[in-house]
Amino acid sequence: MKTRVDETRRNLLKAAAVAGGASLISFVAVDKNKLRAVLSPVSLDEVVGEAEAAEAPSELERRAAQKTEEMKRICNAEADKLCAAKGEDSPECREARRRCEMIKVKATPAKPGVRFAMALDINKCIGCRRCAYACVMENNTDREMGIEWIKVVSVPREELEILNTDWKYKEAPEKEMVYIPMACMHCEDPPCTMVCPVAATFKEPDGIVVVDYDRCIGCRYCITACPYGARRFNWRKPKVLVTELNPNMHILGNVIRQPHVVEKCTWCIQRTRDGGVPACVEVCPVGARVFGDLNDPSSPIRRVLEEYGAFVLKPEAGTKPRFFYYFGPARTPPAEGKEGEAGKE
Amino acid sequence: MAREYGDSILDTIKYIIDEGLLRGSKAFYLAVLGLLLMAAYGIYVWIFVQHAPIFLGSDYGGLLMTDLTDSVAWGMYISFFVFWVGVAAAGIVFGIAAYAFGHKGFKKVAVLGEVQAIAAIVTVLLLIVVDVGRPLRVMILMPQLPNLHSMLDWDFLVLTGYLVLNLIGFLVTVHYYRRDLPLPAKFTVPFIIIAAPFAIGIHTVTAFLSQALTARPIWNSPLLAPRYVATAFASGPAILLLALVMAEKYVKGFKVDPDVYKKTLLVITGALVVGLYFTLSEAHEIYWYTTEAWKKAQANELIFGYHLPYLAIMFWLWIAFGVAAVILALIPRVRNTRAGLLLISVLTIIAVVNEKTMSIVIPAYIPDPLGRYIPYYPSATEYAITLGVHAIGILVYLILAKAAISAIMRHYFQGSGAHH
Repeated sequence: MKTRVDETRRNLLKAAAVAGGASLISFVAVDKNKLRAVLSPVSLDEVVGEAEAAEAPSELERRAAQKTEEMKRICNAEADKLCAAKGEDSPECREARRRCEMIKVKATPAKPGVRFAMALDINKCIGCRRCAYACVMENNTDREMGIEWIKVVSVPREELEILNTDWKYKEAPEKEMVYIPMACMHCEDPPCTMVCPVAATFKEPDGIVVVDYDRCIGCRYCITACPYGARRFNWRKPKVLVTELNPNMHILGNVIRQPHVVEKCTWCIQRTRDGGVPACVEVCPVGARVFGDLNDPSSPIRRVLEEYGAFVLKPEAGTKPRFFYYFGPARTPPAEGKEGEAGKE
Repeated sequence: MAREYGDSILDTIKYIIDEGLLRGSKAFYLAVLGLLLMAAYGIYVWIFVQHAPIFLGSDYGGLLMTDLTDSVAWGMYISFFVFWVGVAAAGIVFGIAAYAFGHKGFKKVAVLGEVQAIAAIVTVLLLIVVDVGRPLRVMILMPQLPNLHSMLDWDFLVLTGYLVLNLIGFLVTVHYYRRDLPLPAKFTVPFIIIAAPFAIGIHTVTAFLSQALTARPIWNSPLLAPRYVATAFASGPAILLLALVMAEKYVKGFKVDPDVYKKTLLVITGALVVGLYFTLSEAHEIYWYTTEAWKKAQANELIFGYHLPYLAIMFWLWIAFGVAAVILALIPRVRNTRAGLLLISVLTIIAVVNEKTMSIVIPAYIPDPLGRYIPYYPSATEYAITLGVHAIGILVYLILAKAAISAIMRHYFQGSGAHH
C-alpha cells in the first residue's frame, strides 16, 4: 500500500513538473505581441465601424437607420397616448407629433485628429445646476427616476476633498462654499471600459467615452469601477416625455434608453461631432465651462490650460481625466461681502 | 437495490437519477417539495417583478424593485456570490488530501467535496444571472469572451471550467464506485492537477474583480485576494464537516474516518487564524497612522456602522465567532467530541458568512465616489430571489450528495473497499 501511495505521489510530482515547465516555456518563448492579440480578440474597430469615410454605410450607420425607425415607433406610440388624452388638436399633441416626425438618429464618426476636453472654472461656478437641467433636456434622460448625468456637489472652500459633500443644497451660491459639477471625466485610461465584460463601452478616437446601449448587459461593473460616480443605470423602463423629446439623436448618445442599461455623459456627441458645444457649456449663465479640441492651438481649452494651469479630481485614481478644473481670476460670489461688487482681482 | 445497472456511463447517469431522486424517504420528498416551492417563488419574482421590463416589456417593475442605486450598484446577490465562490473553491480540500496526498479516509469522502463545489457554483452562476440587467444578452455575448481585459470574462471562464471539472469528477467517481471499483490513478492525478489550480483560481479571480479598482479604496488592496482565499478555506471545509456529521447520523452504515475530522478541523482553524490576522493587518493599515480619507470613511462604515449599523454588527460577529471557533478548536475536550465539532463548524460558518457577504461588498459603496452616504437595505424582492436561488443550490446538493453517498456505500462499506 505504501508503495502505491508513493507511486501516486511521484506521478503527481512528475506531472506537476511537466506542467510547470510547459508554462515557463510558454511564458518566456511566446511573442508578447501575439499574446496580446490573442488576449484581446475583439478590437474596438470591430465593435464600432468608425471613421473610415467609406462610401458604403458603416455598420453603425446601418444600425442608426434602424434606430431612427425604432425611435419614431416608440415616440409615436407615446404621442398616440397623449393625443388620445388631450385631443388631436391640442398644442401638446401637435408638439409631440412634430418632434416624432423630426427624429433623426445619426452615427457621425469621430473627426480624425480631434481630441476633446473640457475645463471648468471653480471660481465662477455658482452651483445653480442649470447645466444638469439642460443636460437632462438635451439627452432625453428618464424623467421619473431622476437620472442626471451631471451632479453638482458643494464642498467647503477650505477642504476640496470629494467626501462629505452636500449634493442636496437648496441655496446657492454661498461665500464659504465651492460648487463642483461632476460628470464623466472622459479619462485617458478609463477603468469603466477596461472592466466591461462585453466591450459595450469604449473610448472613441476623439476621446469621448460612450456606451453601446444595444450591447450593454447591465452588470453594473462599470459603475463600480468609475472613481467619479459618473455612470447611471436605468433601473426601470425609462419614461419618455414626447413633448420635450430632443429629435437630434446620436446612436451612441441620446437615443431613448432601454431598461437595465448603463448611460453616461457623452459630451453631447450629437452636437459636438457636428461642430457644436455641449448643452451644459451653452447654458452656463456665468460661462464657467470651456470646451474644445486639445489638439487645436487656438481652441479656448488650450488658452485656459496655458493661462491658468488646471488640475483634475482624484489624480490618485490614475485614470488621467480630460475634464479639467481651474481657479479663474474672478470669483462669484465675491470673496468680500457686498452685493454687486466685482471680484477682488 | 434490486435493479442492476450496466457498465456504460449512461447507466451511471441513470443510477444517479435513481439514487438521487427516485429512492427517497418521505422526509426527503418533503424537503424537495419545500425547496421547489421556494425556488418557484424566487423565479416568479424574478421574471414577473424584478425583470418584468425585460421579459414582459412592462412599464412597472425592474431592478428598481431592489434597493440598489447608482450609488450602491452591487448588493445582496453579489455578496452571496462572493461567499459561495469561496465554498466552491474549498470543495477541493478533500480532493487534494485524497488524490494528491493519498489519504485513505479522505478518498472515501472526496466526492462530497465535488458535490459541494457543483452546488455552490450553480448557486453562484444563478446569482449572477438574477443580478445582471439583461440575462439574454449575457448568454449570447459572454461565451464569446469579448473583452479579456475584464476580470469578469476570466471569472466566467474559470467558474464554468470549474463546474465542468467537478461534474466530470463526480460522474467518474460514481461511475467507478457504483461498480465497486477503485478510482484509477490515471484519472485522479490529472484531475487534481487541473482542478486544484482552478479552485484557487475561481476565488482569486473573483477577488481580482474588485481589488484593482481605484474607485473603491477599501477593496483596493493586494490583501483582498489572499483574504478571500483564507476565509474560503475556513467556511468550505466547515460546511463539508457539517455534511459528514449529518451523513453519519442519517445514513445507516456510513462511517467517517476520525482522522478526516481531525485534519479538516486543522485546515479550518489554520484558515481562520490567517483570516483574522489579515483583518488585523488591514485595520492597522487604516487606523494606526493616517490613510486616504475616503478609504478610512469606508472602513468606518464597516467597523462602526455610522450609516448602516448592520455592517458593524456583521464585522464584529466575524471577529467574535472567528476567535471563539479558534479557541474552541484548540481545546482537546471540545474538538474531540461530535458536538464540539458541530459547534466549531457552525461558529465558523456564521463567522465567515458575516465576513464574506455584505460586509465585504457594501462598504466599498458607502460613501460613494461623490461622497454621498446612501444606505442600502436589501428589499423584499432581493430576499425572495436570493432565497429562491439558494433553494435551487440546496436541491442540487441534496440530490447529488444522495447519489454520491449511495455509490460510496456500495464500494467502501458493502463492496471490496471495505476490506482494505
